[in-house]
Amino acid sequence: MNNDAVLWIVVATALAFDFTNGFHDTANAVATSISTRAMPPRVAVALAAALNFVGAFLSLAVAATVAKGIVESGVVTPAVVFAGLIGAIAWNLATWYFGLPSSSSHALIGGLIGAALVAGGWDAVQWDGVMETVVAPALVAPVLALVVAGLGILIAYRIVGHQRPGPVARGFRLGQIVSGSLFSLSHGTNDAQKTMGIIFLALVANGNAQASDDVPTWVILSAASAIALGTYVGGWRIIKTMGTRIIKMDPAQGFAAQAAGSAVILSASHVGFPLSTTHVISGAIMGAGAAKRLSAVRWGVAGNIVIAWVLTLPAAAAVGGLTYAIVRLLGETGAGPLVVSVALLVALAVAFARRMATGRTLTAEG
Amino acid sequence: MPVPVAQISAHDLLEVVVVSLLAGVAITTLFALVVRWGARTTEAHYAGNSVARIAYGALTTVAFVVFAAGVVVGVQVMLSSK
Repeated sequence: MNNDAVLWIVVATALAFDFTNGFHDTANAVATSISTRAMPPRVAVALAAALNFVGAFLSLAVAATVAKGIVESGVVTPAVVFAGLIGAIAWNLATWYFGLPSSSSHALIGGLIGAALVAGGWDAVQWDGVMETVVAPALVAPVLALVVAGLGILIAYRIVGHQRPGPVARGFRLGQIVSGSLFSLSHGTNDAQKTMGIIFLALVANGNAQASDDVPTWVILSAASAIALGTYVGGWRIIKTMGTRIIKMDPAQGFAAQAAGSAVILSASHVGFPLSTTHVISGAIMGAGAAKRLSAVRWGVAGNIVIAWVLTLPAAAAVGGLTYAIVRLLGETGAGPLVVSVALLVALAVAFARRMATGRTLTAEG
Repeated sequence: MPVPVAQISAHDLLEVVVVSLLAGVAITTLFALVVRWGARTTEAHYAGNSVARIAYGALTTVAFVVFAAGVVVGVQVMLSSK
C-alpha cells in the first residue's frame, strides 16, 4: 500500500470526524430554538446545516491555527493524524451516547496529542501552543459567554418586563431565527475549519502540500459538506440535554444565549482562537438561566457537562495514543490504518445491527 | 523543525473579551427594544390610538434597522480575520 492510499484513508477519517462534529454540535446551534419552539426541529436543523456550509467558506483563520502549533511537525505522519482522528471520533460517539455536550475541537486536539506522545514522546507536543491555543481560550470562553448572556438577559428582562408575555415570547422567538442563524454561521466558520486544518496537516505530512500553501478548495468544500450533513442528521440526545436539561428556557433566554454565543465565537474567529462552540453555548445557556435565578440552573447536569469537558482532552488522547500504537504495530504506512478502519466500521455495523434487532435504531434520535 | 505557533497574545484575548461583551449585550438590548416597542405598537393599534401606533412603529423600525445593521457589520468586521 503506498502512502497516498493511507492519505486517502486519513482524509476519509477526517471527513467522518467532521460529520460527527456536525452531528454532535447540532445542539449548539438549534437546542435553544427547538426548546423555546422558535422553529420546528427539522426546519431548525436544515437551516443550521445550510448556514454551517456557508460559514465554512467565510474565514480560514482557525484552520491555520489548528494545523500549526499543537505538535512538532517532525512527528506528524498520516498515521499520527489518523490515530488522532480516531481518538476524537471515539470521544464524540461516547459523549453523544450519554447525551453530553462536549467539545469536538478538544477531542480532536486531544487525539492528536495522544498519538504524537506515543510517536515521539513528551517533546513531540508543543505544550506552549496547547496552552495558548487551547487551554487559555477554553477557560475564558464559557465564563465570558456566561457573563455576556447573563448581562444581556438582565437588560432584556428590564426592557420588556412590563409587557404582556404573549407578544414578548413571539417577538423573541422571531429573534431566535436570526440569533440561531448567526450562531450556525459562526459554528461553520469555526468548526469546519478544524477539519480543513487537519486534512491540510495530513497533506503536508504526506508531502502533498507545503505548510506555507493555501488550504486547497477541495478540502474546504468537502469539510463544509461533511459538517453540514452531520448537522442535518442531528444529535438529538445532546439537543435534549442542551435545550431542556440545563435550564427550562424561555424565548428571551434562548435569544440572549444565542446572541452571546455568536458574539463570542465570531470575535474569537476574528483573532484565530479555535474556541469550542459547545463550551460557549453551554456557558451562555447557564448565564441566561443563572441571571434570572441561580436555582434555575440544574447545577448537577452542568457539573456533569464540565466533568466531560475536563475529561475530553485526556480521554481522546488515550484513545489516540492506543490507536497509534496499534497502527504502528501493524505497519504505519502499510495495513495499520486500513485494518483499524475496517475493524471500527465492523464494530459500528455490529452495534447498529444489534440495536435494529432490539427494535431501536442507532440514530441521533436514539 | 517545529511548525511556528500561531501566537495568541494577551491583547487579542482582551479584544475578544471586550468585543464579545459589547456586541453580545448590544444585540440583545437592541432586539429587546424591538420587542418592547413592537408590542406597544400592537397595543396602540388595538386601542385605536393612531398617534402612539405611528410613534412606536417608527421606534420599532429604527431599533430593528440598527439591530440588523449591527448584525451585518458585526459579522463583516469579525470575519475580516487578522
